[in-house]
Amino acid sequence: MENTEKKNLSDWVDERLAQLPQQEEWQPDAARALRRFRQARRTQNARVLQTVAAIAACVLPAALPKSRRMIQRLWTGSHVVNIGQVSADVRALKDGQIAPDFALKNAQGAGLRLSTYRGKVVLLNFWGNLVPRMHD
Amino acid sequence: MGTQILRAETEAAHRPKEAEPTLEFEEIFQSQYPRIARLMARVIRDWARAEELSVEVFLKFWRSPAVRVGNAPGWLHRVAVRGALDELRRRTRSRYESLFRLGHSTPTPEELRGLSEGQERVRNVLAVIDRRDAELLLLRSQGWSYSELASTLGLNPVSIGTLLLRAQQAFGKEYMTCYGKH
Repeated sequence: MENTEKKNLSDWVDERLAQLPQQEEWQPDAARALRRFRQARRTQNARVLQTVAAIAACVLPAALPKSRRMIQRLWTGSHVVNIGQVSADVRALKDGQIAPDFALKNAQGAGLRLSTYRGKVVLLNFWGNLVPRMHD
Repeated sequence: MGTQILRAETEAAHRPKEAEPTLEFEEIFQSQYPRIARLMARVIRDWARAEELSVEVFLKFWRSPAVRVGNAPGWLHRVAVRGALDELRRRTRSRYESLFRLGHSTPTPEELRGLSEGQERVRNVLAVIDRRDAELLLLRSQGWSYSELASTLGLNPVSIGTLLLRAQQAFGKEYMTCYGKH
């Protein structure tokens, strides 16, 4: 491209861009903007803290052995599965028969055995903790 | 009273320094904010939005400690131009979509006239061409020298002339395509 053409193009583009006013008449309020900046920083910090707290709330219980066991028990319903293992025997029972003995763990993890309640009235309540309605 | 003052001083000493802008940062903010805001307003023609976007530029600046020790004004101007161009692209796209989308009433003569004004033509072209070309043209039209452009945009000073010429050609071609020679 010839130098004259380059110059013409450059001048023409400069003319077009000069149509965008420089906004010299406008005096932006720096003090107000600084206040907005501080407010935005505080909001950002709060968001970061919330995110960190949420992650910690999810990760920490899984990291500690005791809470991890509790989560696993709640998730799998392990103490209910034990009942499931004996439920076939229970279903085959007839009125007046002695219930077969079984052992399982309670919600606190302590072992218990049906025979320890011999002579007492025992109510067996079968329910699933994953069904929201059962919590009511 | 003395205990209260001592407590206040102790609290101030233990307050995290990162939480509030430092004096040096405030000086940069006070000196550069008006320029950044005007530059953005020049591109997007909206003072209120330019103020919001300028604060966002300074938030990015605050989050990048490395750039604070370098060429802070240059970095701020570059980020401001990019932010303004992004906003311009969003606006141009949404305006055309709202004017010509199906089911919308025919644009009024006033709306069409607004689109054909000289300033709007320039903005529309800047919104369409390559972003680096638009950045170069805008910063050059702000009176920046070749060396300032090169250091701020991270380009080879020798190639600035060529890149600027290409940007002008791209602008001219797009302008001619959309609006003809005038």
